[in-house]
Amino acid sequence: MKPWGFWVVLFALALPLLAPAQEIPPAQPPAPWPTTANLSGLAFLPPGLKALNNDPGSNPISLWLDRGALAWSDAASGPSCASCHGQVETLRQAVVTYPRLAADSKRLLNLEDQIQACRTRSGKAAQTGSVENEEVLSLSALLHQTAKGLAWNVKAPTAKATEKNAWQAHLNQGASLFAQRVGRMNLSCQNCHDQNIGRQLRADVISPGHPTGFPVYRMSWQGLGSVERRLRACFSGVQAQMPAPGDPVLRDLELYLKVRASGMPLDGPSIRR
Amino acid sequence: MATPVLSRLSFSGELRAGRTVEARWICNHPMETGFRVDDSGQRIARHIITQVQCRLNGQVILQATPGTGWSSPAYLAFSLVVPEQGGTVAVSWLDDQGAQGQVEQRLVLLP
Repeated sequence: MKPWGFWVVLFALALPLLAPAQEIPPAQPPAPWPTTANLSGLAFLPPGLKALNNDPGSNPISLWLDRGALAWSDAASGPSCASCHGQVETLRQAVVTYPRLAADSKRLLNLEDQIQACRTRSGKAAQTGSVENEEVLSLSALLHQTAKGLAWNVKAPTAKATEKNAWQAHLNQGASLFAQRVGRMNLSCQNCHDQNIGRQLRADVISPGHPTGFPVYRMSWQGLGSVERRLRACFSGVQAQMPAPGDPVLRDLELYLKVRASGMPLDGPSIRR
Repeated sequence: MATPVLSRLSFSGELRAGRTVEARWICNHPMETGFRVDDSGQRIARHIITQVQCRLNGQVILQATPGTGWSSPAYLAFSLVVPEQGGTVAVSWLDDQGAQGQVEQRLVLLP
């Protein structure tokens, strides 16, 4: 070792001692997302998406609303929606009561099913495959926009005891599904949406999972999707077998989620990550 | 009803003579890149907007040639100076299958 090499090494060793003592600041808690159970998904959006959600000029959902307004009065093949229902506003109160029991009280109908049933009756094209019909989505978006601000009010039918029991059976089924662990990840809905609200799941923040802002425009879909599409994506997310579109399981779950969100205001079609 | 391609044009900012405002154009064109395949493995044909022209009172102020990098819905924001008398902004587009469309919006000056 050269004679000055010793001094260099000694100086390097002494450096931390020469530096002024600095206190390391305590670790900051992660981004302050809310953890309250009765918040809509809008509370968990980053500021940029929130601004997009509130700006009709650049919000892509406005295109679907325009299209829904066109479809509402489209009488090209069979009677239009407007010819029976008149103004869209007349159905305002009905939007918050879906899903409802079908007339045969065997299955549940959500709003998209009801629109589809109406369209089939008036001779319009039905949905094919797993891709959601854009026109049905547009009409659903228009109806949800009209009902913006109303409180969710999904209730059991009261006319007949048999109907009430059938409805209750669907609700119980939905509730047990919500608590049921599924898929390779072995997670239930409540593991995230009850027990980990406000925490980060990869790049997303876990919301309480209230279906108050549907149909949603998801950035990752680059398009509009209904509750059904969102729920199917959840099944895929926990690596469980995805139910086919229209599966009664999805309707039961939707019923439970909307009963769970009772009293919360309808947000109208919203932006999601 | 065939899928209508709808456009929207809106302005952000104070519409007063001499001010700069941002115009935002949004269009639900499919903007299919031609790189994707459908469920059966068949390639989906390319279908994109190839030309966008923005005019202020008939005069071209912006011309764009979008490629496959624009996603759907197509979105374009540009700034313009509001003329003394207001006027009309028009955005027209042309896609690679020959379809075209136009949307117009009047610049209504604030009192």
